[in-house]
Amino acid sequence: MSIKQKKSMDETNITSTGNSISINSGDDRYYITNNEKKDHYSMVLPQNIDIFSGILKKAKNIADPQIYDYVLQILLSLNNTLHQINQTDIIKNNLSKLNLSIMSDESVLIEWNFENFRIGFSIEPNLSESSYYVVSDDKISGAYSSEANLLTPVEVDSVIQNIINFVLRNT
Amino acid sequence: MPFPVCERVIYNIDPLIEVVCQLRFPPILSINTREPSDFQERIRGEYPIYKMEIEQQQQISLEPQMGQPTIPRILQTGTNRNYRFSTEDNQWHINLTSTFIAMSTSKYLRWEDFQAKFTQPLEALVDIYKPAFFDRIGLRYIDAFKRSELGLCEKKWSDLIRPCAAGFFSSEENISSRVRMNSIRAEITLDDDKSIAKILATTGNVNGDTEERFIIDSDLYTLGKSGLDAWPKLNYLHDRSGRLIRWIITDTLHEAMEPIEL
Repeated sequence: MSIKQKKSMDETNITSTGNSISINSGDDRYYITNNEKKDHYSMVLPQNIDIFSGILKKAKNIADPQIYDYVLQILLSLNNTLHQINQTDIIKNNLSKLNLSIMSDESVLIEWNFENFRIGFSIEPNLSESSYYVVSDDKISGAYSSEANLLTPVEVDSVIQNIINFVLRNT
Repeated sequence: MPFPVCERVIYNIDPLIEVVCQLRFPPILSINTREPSDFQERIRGEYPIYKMEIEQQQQISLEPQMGQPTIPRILQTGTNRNYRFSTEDNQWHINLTSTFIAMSTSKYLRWEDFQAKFTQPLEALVDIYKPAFFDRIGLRYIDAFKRSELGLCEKKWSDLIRPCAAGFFSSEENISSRVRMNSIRAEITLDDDKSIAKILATTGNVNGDTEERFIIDSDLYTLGKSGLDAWPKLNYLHDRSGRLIRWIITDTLHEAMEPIEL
């Protein structure tokens, strides 16, 4: 299976790769705006795929601005990808919420837990050491498996597209 | 014919948060390989701030194997340079890539100003790069109505927005008061039988403001080869966008924004 990054050919826009959407999570109403890619507005995700509840309030406690920006980039990409998929192919899955933890060394762990697999993003003080992982039990592919890779900013959108497709296939 | 003719107005309390105009053309490879210094010289007086962004396009293979970890593999990588030229106040932007030129602003006042700001960059594009034709001409207006700004806090969205766009907000009180999310999408062919109005009517938030607004995102565009004088089509799309928004909002909302006839 090949996945191409969606090109926004049918939208009047200032980028080739489509809109960035800032995150609005239910009652939190916290805003993430990426000043580099200007966000117009945000829409609430449908409840079954609103994975951000509570996480934005926690993210505000991240002290290091570079780590904070990187965390926002990941959250933005997750939001954007879910919106894009849901626009053309309504997502019926019920997705669990993200968890965010700030470690004593200031690294940040974003975890996304499901019954048979777990996904994580680890953002390190040295950003070049940041990574993601996917761990699954034998119900997904017949054997327990784990997978971890470094994660660079330019790869975030592609990796998240893959991860969301994996999640939607296996939930 | 959709969207009736209406008087042309500007609003004292302006709901527009963004206007984008984009003209697409067949790829001009040199834009992606050489920095547009000649183009910059032509517009630098108006747009002195320059930035380049790289947009990544990747194709990933994800082949699950029994008993083996699933490793995403990058098969191809493409990059696109997006050159951004901005006014000193950072309110007007020109974006140039190998496949389009776009202008965007959050300080739109009237069409004639927008035309004036775009004329020079457009002429520079045509003179320097000589695109063969435009294959998509688009004009997008994003309006976000904020009730507290308009003295309309007591009004429901169904009082301010036509029912077809207000969706479930137009239903009975025991339903409309419980609406958590409401988005209406439509694509409507305009009266030239070629151009399309792509409309999103939704509630949402803007720029960190916690008050819910009603957003009308209307993207009017024409596909197909057209000559390098884009202004007749842009003028047409602008006219129809004005008719569209006036048709969607009620007289109550229209009057609350303090219209000034042009």
